[in-house]
Amino acid sequence: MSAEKFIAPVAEFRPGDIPYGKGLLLDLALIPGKLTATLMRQLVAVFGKPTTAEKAAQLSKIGGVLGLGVNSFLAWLFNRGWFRRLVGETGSEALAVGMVMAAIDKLYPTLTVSAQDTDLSDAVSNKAVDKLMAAIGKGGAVGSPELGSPELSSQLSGFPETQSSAFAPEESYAGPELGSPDLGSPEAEDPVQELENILAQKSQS
Amino acid sequence: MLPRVTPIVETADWAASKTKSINVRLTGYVTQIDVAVDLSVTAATSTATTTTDDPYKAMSALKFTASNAHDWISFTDGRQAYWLSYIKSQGNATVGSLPSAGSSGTVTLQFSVHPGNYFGKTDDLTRVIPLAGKTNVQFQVTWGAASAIGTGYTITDASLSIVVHRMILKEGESEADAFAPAKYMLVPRYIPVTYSIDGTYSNYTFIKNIPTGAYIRDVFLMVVDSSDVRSNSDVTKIQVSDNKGNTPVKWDSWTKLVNFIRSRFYLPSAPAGIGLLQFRDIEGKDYGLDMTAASEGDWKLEMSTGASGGKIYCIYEGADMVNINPTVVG
Repeated sequence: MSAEKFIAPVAEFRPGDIPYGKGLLLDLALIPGKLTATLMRQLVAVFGKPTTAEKAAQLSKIGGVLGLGVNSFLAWLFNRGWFRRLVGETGSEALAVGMVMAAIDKLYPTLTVSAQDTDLSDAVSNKAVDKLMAAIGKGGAVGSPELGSPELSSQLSGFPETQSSAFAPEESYAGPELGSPDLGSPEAEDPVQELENILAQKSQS
Repeated sequence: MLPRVTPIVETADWAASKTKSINVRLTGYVTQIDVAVDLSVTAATSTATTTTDDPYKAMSALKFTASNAHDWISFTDGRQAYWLSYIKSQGNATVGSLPSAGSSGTVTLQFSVHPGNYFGKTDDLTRVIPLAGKTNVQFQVTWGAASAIGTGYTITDASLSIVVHRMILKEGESEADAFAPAKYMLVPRYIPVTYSIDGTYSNYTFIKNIPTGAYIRDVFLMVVDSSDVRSNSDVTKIQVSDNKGNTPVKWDSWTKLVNFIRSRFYLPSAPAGIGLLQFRDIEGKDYGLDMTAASEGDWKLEMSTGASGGKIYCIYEGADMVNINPTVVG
């Protein structure tokens, strides 16, 4: 039982000698091809654990090349006798061509990706992004010394508009909760600083 | 008020690994103590390589205190006293040379302890130690072992003497008059703390709380490696942070801090391992940080370390605000 008798009529659908049928078949065949190429890229990204944009770009290239290899293998597989018998000559050829087309289509952008324009959220799965964000949140080493500093951790907790809530107001440094209600007020109203001024004045006189 | 410079006749003489005291039976308000030490040292034919401050290892602790009082002055290593005085006196603390191998000699050490804000002024009232009503006022020294200076050097004798600089009330003058219009005085309290470096920490993760309960003006730091030699590489970075993650004082290089201290205090050299963080840099207050009602961890020292096994000897220069007693009259 071959699928040829269903697929061949589709492929031969050429109204006005325009190959709509073959176009449709190839388009459908592109779907699994793109799926496997994307899947390879995602798998490499997840298992490669990118923690920097540079590494993510590198993993993207590896994923692209692997995708080409896997799709080529599948294309070869789809042209084997047993598969041809199963889906028919037209179907197997369309699938093989779709695989190769998808691999080539995906290869160029993955090979030319650079660290500068790597969007980590796109290159890795959401789970990996979550882990990466958690690592940054803990102040761990994530490639850039600044990322480990408390300031950046604080910034990550909010958008620029909300940073006023992430950072304490200036007057709260060692502030009112430390028992001196006048801290943050003009210097003359700080009784301890006032005392320092008086004692300094007496020492200098 | 009138200034007085009073040498104390009593001396604290050598007794290996023992604490000896000089009784200070004086009145007034102590502003500075000059300390002089004569060490008799014998050097064997083979001696260890020494650094400038090694003779100060003869003193393992120094303290100025009284019954029922905080330690006004306190050091847990003689070298702290030398280097703190070195910083404040623009490098003019004294340390004699050790005798050469196979000979004996006297090594003279001399430094000043001045808790006030103006080191050059002995009538500096910004930090004073009131002696009225205090009992057992003593300057104490804990001598180290006879071999404390280093291999091949033996301390055979030593003597420590002090000169007390103070302000006294004129006849009939009350404490309230003398300090008017101030209603309080600031009494120094040195808080010595030693942190053992137990590993290599990056990104300022070696974290220590700044002590609470006083106004903390600054912290003096002496970093030594696992061989007890001052080092610039055992602490590599340091910052002061509050409990909200703000870091108003940050040094991304310990060496930069050491060199900065040299320029800020006009020092002739930048001694390795010696640092000073002035908390005036945080809020612009002369008294530094108000930690009187703070909780542990409100302010922290956060450091990166480059090696394990060393120590950080800290002296937090704090002060307590004490009521003026109008009944004290000269």
